[in-house]
Amino acid sequence: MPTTYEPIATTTLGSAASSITFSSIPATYTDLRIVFVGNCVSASRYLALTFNADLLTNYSMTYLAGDGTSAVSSRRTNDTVLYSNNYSGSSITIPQMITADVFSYAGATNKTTLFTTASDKNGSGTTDVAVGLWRSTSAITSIALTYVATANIAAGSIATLYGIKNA
Amino acid sequence: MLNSLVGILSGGGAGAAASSYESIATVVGNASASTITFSSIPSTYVALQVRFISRRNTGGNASNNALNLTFNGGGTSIYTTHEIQANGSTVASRAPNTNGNEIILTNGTAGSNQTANVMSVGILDIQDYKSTTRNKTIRYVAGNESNGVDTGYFTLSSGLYAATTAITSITFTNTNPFTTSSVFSLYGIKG
Amino acid sequence: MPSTYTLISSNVLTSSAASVTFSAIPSTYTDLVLRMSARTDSAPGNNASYILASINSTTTSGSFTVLSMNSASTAAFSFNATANTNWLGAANGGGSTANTFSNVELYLPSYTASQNKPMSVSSVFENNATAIGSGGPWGAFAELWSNTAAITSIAMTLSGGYNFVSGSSFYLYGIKNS
Repeated sequence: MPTTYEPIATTTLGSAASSITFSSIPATYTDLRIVFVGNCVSASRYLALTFNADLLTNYSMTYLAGDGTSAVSSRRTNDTVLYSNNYSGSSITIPQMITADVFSYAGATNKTTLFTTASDKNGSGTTDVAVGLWRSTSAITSIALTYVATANIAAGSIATLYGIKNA
Repeated sequence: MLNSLVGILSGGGAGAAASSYESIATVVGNASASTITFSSIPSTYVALQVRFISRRNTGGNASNNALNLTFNGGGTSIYTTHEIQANGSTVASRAPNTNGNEIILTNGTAGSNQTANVMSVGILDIQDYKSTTRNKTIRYVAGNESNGVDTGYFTLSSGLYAATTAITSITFTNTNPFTTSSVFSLYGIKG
Repeated sequence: MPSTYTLISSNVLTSSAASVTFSAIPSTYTDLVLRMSARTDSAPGNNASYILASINSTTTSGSFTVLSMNSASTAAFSFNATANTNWLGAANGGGSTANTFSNVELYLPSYTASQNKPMSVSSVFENNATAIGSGGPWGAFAELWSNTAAITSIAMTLSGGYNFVSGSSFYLYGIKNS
């Protein structure tokens, strides 16, 4: 029986890669949590999630960002991936951290995720929070992390998938 | 250099060190009750966290719906709420109430007439919940997203429970019954 | 298998203190989580102070971007700063509602990795009035420690040179990813 909060899998990139994928995710937890620290090989890209290899326009998100000057909000709809943030994006040299809390990932409702992105760039950058939706009632069995517009995840990037189990 | 992919078997296994993060209780909506309560909360932790998904079974109101949060059965004029809410276009900063009868958890529940299977989700953190000398400050994030069918929202909030008594119960109140897909999970964090 | 979420150290103040330090942080975890609840002995006109962090005794390697609000009558705002200590969130000030302490969580991933260290802070404090108060340590912070060394200590003080009051609590947890 799983404990309350435990790692399911972790990936550390020894070389740049187009994606990090967690597959065969067991249905035994309540929520999932992804913690990502890393870079993209290109600037101004956004870390995105794909569930169960669904590349149809089934994703949307609403975000709130502080850009060092003001608080801003916008929305994306009918995307082919789930953006974790959508304001200033990645840096080539400075790592960012992104957390994703996926609620009731194995349940029969659409899948909603809360994101936090910390992307301070030492004089610029953003702090972002967002809510995302995958319009599917299927249980999530795989999650792929990519950067959009397409660019490799940099070597040294780390992603960990945790399971959280309720009583 | 090869990428490192480590899969970990579930289960603590023999000899695992005690975790500081534990599940306490779970309450699921039943389509008839408008409240969800955690009671007899043990005093063995230093912090509590509630993680939830929520929707109303009836009562309309698309996406910008709140839950009311009370502790220890209620209390009058001892709750205050502050929030930032983003709706995909504008950002609002508000004080939904001061000296009120509940903490207002904006976007805490999806409406019954929203797109089917869309839920609000949220995380509520309460530090030092068992203190008998301090008021209680809660930290809350929540979101509701429906691909532009209804306005999507992200809310970051703080709440004050101005009572120097230990929290032994937590109640979430909806204006209409919670769906059977609504799940509220209480976790304790040890110190 | 070791526990994923483990208390490393805690400090609940029984008297006021100018600083709180976690030192000799073991390198055996993947991420750190710091949960805090704090109040200062600042003057009555001050509703909140920033919790400042010197990581590994550095004071100019920190930078941050803040998303915050002060009151219902002013717009949410954002600002950033560089060449600083890191600002880890709020401590209620002497001007805020009595017996009220902040609620702060710092998530610091990959704290031993040989790279600069991004981290996120979720910080709130409360005041029983329409306005939370000026100062701005309420909201979401993106922090960066521009140093590739493993983090072994976090020393916290307050803006304005105030003291943490008795009852302020600090809990440092290690998260293990395997």
